[in-house]
Amino acid sequence: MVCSIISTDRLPSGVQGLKYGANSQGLSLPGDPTQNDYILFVHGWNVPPWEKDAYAETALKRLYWQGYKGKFGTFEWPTTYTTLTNDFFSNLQKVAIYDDGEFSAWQSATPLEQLLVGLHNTYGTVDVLAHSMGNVVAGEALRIAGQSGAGQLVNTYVATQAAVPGHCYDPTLPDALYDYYITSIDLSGGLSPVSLNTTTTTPNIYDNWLVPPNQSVGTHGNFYNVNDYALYYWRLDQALKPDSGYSYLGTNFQPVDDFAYMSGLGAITSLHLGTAGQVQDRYEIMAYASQPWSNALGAVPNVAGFAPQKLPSLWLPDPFETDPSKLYSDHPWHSAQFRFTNADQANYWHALLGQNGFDLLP
Amino acid sequence: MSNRSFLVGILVVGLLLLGGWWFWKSKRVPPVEAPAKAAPASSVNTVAHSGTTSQPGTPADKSALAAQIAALEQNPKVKAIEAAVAKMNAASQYFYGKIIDQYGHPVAGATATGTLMQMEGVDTGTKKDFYTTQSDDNGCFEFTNLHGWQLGVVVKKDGYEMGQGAGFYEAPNAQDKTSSEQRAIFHMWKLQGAEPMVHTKFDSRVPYDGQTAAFDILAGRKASSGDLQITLTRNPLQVQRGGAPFDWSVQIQVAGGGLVETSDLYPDEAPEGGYQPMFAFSMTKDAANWTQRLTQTYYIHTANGDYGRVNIDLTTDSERPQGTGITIETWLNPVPGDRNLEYDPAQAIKP
Repeated sequence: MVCSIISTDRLPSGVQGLKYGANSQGLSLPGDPTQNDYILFVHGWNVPPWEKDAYAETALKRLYWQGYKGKFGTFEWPTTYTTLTNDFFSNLQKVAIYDDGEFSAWQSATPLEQLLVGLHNTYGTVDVLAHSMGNVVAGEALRIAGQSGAGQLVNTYVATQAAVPGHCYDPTLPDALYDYYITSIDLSGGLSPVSLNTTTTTPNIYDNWLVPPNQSVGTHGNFYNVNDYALYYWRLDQALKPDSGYSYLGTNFQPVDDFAYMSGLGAITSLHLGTAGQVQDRYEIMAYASQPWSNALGAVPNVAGFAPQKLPSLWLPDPFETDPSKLYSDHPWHSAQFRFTNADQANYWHALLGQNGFDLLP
Repeated sequence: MSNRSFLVGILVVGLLLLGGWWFWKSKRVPPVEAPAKAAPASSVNTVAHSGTTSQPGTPADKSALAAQIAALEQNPKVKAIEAAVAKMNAASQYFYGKIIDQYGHPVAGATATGTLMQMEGVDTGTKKDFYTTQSDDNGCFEFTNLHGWQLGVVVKKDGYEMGQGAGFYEAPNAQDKTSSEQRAIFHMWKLQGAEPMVHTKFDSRVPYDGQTAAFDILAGRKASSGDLQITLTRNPLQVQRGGAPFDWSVQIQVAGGGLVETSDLYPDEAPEGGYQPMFAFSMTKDAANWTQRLTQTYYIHTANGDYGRVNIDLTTDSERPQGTGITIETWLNPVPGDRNLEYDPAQAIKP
C-alpha cells in the first residue's frame, strides 16, 4: 500500500523522485481511522505543470494538519495555461484558450474514470476533490462510470468552486439569462451599444447530463461562492459561445443535433451529440458551441443532490467589502484554499474533512 | 534638423523597436504539457490521456506563434470580451453610507475605505485603487465621481466592532442603489471593554438513536457529566448521507441552567433573563426548507451563574456508527453574573 509519491515528472535528468516501497504505509498512519481512506485531487484550468504539483502538495499538507492520515493522490490533465514567463496572450485573450481547456477537460474524463476504477479496486474507500474546471473532468468521469454500471467507485465527491453548468445536475435551477454585461457589446471592439446576445442562442444540451442512470458516487458536496470572480468570467465566456467557426444551424432549438464547424476554407463539418453511451462530438460541442443556460455549479447554493457548503462562511472577512451582494468577488478567492496561508484557510480544509465534506473527522 | 532627417530618424527607431520586440517574443518558451498522471505508485503514469486536443500555446515555431497571436487579435470572441470588460470598467461608481451603533447613534469620525476595482483579465484578478474618507457628525460619508467595475466599502473605528454581510450592511433599497437621500446603513458595535473569557472550539460526534451526548463547556470536550447535553433522533435510523430527506429532531440542554436562541448581529452581551432549560427543534422530511443541518447560536446561563454563548453546527445525516458530526464553539465569562461577552483573543483563558 502506498500513500504518496512525488512523480519524477519535470525533475532534472537522473534525479529520482521520492517513492515509498510497496510495503510502506507512506505518510498514512497505521491505526488511524483514516489510514485506509484515499483522497484524489483534480486541479482546474490555467495551471502550469509545476502548479499542478504545488496545488496537490498544498492540499495534502493542509489535510494532514487537519488530522487526515490517509492516502492521497492527484490526477493531472492537460489543461491550457499561460504563465508570467510565458504570457504571450494578454490577460483577456486568455479566455480564448479557456474553451480549448474545456475541450481537453471533457476528454480527460475517460482516463480519470479508468483511474477511479483502479483506485476503488485497490483501496476501496475513495473520495474526490475537484477544483474549478476539474469538475468537468471529475463529473464526466463519474458519469461515465455510472453509465457503464461500474458501481459506487467514490464515497464522497466534493465539487469546489466548480466551473461546470449547474443544469448538468439540476435542471430546475433558474436560467441565467445573459443580461447586463453583454447587452451592449460592439463586436468591433468599441463601446457603442450594439446588442449581441440578450438570451441564449443555442439549445440547452446540459440538463441532467452528469446524472447517470446508476450512481457511481455516494455523496455529493458543493463548496460554492455566489460571487466567485472566475465563475463570473465563466458565465461571460459561455455566453459568447458558439466560438468562431462553430454554429447552431437549427431553429427553435430543435432538433438539437444541428451543430456545425466551418473551417477557414469554408468546409462545413456537421457535429453530432451522440448518446450517453457514445458521445461522438458532444465534448467539442459543449466546449465550443453550446451555451449552458444556468450559472456554474460553484456559484449556486442549492443544487439537487448536493450538500451545500457556503465558502464565505469558512473564510476570514473580506478586507475590501461589506455589502453581501459583492463579498468575496475578487479573483484570489477562487483558489483561496491553495493561495492563502494554511492558517487563513484552516476552516476550509477542516470543513472538507467534516461532515459536509468527506466525513472523516473522528 | 530637416523634416526629412527627422522622419528617417523616427523610421529607424521604429524599426529597431519592432526588431527588439520580435527578438523578445522569439525568446519566450511556449508551455510544454506533461502527460496526465496519477500519484499512487501502482498507477503513476500508467493512465495516459486519451484526448486528442492539441496544446494551444505550444506552436512548433515562431511563425506559428505569431499567427496564433494574430488570430487571437482578430478573434471576435476576444474582441467581444475585451469590449465587455472595458464597458464594465468604465461604469460610474458612487456610494452614500451612514454608520450607526447599537443604540442607533451616528458614529462620527469613522474611516471609510472605498476600494475601486478594475477587471484585468479572466484569471488574473483586479487592479485596486483605494480612497478613504471620514464619517461626519451624522455618521454620513460618500464616494462620488469614480469609474470602475466595482466599488467595495469597509468602515473602521477604534473602540467599535464591525461585522460583514447581511445585517451589518443594510441596503437602502432592493436595487442596492445609494443616494444622498437613501444611504446604506452600517451597523457597528460600541465596545464596552473585553474581559477574560474561556473560549473553546472542538469537533465531536452525537449519536442519532436518541442517546444523549454530554459536553463540558469549560473544558471543551465530550464528558459523561458535561453540562451541555444534546440528544438527536432521526427516522429512519439509517440514512444515506446527502440522500433523501428524513425526519429528525434535536434537544439541547444546559444542565442546571438554560439557554436562549439568538440571531444578534453582535452577541456581545448576554440577556439577563429569558433562559429556557431546553431548546427543541424538529425537521420533517416534507418541510419545504428541509435541511440536514442545524447551525445556531445560543446564549447560555450555567448552573454556576456564568453567562456565555455557544455556536452549534450539527449535521444530522452521517452514516457512521459512532454518530453524526458536530462542531461546538463556546465563550464563557467565568465571573458569575457578568453578562459581558465581548471577546479579546489576547485575554482568552485556556481551558
